[in-house]
Amino acid sequence: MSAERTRHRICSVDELEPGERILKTVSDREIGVFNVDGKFHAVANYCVHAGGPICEGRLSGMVTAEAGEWEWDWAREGEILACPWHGWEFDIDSGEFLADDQYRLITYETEIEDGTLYVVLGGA
Amino acid sequence: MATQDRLRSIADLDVVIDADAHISEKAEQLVPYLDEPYKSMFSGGDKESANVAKPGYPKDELFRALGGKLQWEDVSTAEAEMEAMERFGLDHVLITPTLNLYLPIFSDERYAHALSKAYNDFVVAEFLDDGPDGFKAAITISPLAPDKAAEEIDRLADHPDMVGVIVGSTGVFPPLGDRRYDPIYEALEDNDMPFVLHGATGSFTSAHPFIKRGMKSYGELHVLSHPVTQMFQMTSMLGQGIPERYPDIDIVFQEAGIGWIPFTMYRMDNEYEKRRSEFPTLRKKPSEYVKENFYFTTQPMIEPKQSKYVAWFIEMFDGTDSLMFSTDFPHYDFDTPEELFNMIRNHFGAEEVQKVFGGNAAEVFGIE
Ligand code: FES
Repeated sequence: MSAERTRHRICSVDELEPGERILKTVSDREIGVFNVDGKFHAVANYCVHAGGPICEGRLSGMVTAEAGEWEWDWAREGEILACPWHGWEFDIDSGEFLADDQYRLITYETEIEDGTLYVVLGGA
Repeated sequence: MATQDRLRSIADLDVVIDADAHISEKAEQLVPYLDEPYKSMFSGGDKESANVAKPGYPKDELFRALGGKLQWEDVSTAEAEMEAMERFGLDHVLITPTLNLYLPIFSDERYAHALSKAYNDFVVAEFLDDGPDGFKAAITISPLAPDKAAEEIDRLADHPDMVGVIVGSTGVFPPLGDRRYDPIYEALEDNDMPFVLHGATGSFTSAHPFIKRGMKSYGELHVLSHPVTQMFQMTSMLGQGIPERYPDIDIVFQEAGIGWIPFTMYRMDNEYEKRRSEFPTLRKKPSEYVKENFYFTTQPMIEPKQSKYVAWFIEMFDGTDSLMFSTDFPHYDFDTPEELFNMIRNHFGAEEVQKVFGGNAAEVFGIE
């Protein structure tokens, strides 16, 4: 991203409790901001598969299988964002698509200052 | 490959027809349209007990919606279908059923026939007669009583928005080359209607029980369900000479993607060449019937990173003459027009792309 670095207010920090999300339009982009156990993640509401509303998808965990183990498990609850359209699963922190790391969601930095939550666009 | 002008944007398409637009009809919505005795049977009794509360379509243990990761949108009303049309920029939709694709695996052919009639009347009353001009549908039949299915085709074929006949193709047994289905083919011919075949993963439990039991997840099963269904039916129809016996019927295979088409037809050519005396009805190679009589909806597009491979598949069966764009919305593997458009626009000329997005469907279904 080469454009100039700009900062945009999303809400006050107390308005977004752990487990909650908020969807905002910021300089013509729809961005979802998630509070996952006190850590904030900002993601463009545009799935890299076919443009689905990724930020409306279920944020939950993933099914895992340890090498050599017969039983499967559920892990990383709260960190995996699934697209409601075709089910592509992404790591909400890195934006990485779990089935192919050539794809990733557009994510943004967040900042907190004086109890206000911002997303940062451009300038990276 | 054509080198004439290319289409640059999806806005250049004259018309977009979705040749497989599902509605998600609910069993309870059909009850008021059921003939007796089924209507009364489903109107009383203990609502908690499964088969009294609503017609009993089959169920299985598969995690269709991935525990809520997938949103299974409800398109059970005309309004919801209109929203889908707007969302994807569709001019016409061929409305296809969801639950009523399961009719071939019912045990009772009377009951399956009654449900097909109720579903058709529901579609006419709640979608076609009230909906926008873009709504078209196919008459849904149960193959279990072919004479009754033929009556159902005759009953509704004059409806201006009923533009074809559809059967759930998973579980039609014996497969559709069998002579017991002649009444259906005759009704199709008399009424000049295309025959649409659509598989259903949920029917595998009884249609192909070993495949269902061997596949441990919906994903594993779904790799096979649609193409295996369509290969099974197409092989039977070709082997028994359906396109030779009924040359005027256009046959449309839905929802199996495109990869299986060249594979099946060239493999069948190979058998025909080596074992011709087992196919005495045929007057030419199976692949030639495929190119002339058979049509295919596009979804789900296989998605190799290089679109040239998709183009090669399409060229192998002259696909720009027979493919019809489809979304399959609202099912989880739906395609958007953009996905298909971006995959083919650099490989085919403007006219060919226009045919895939609307021209072929308009011709087969008589949509103006
Ligand atoms: S648009 Fe998100 S998975 Fe397809």
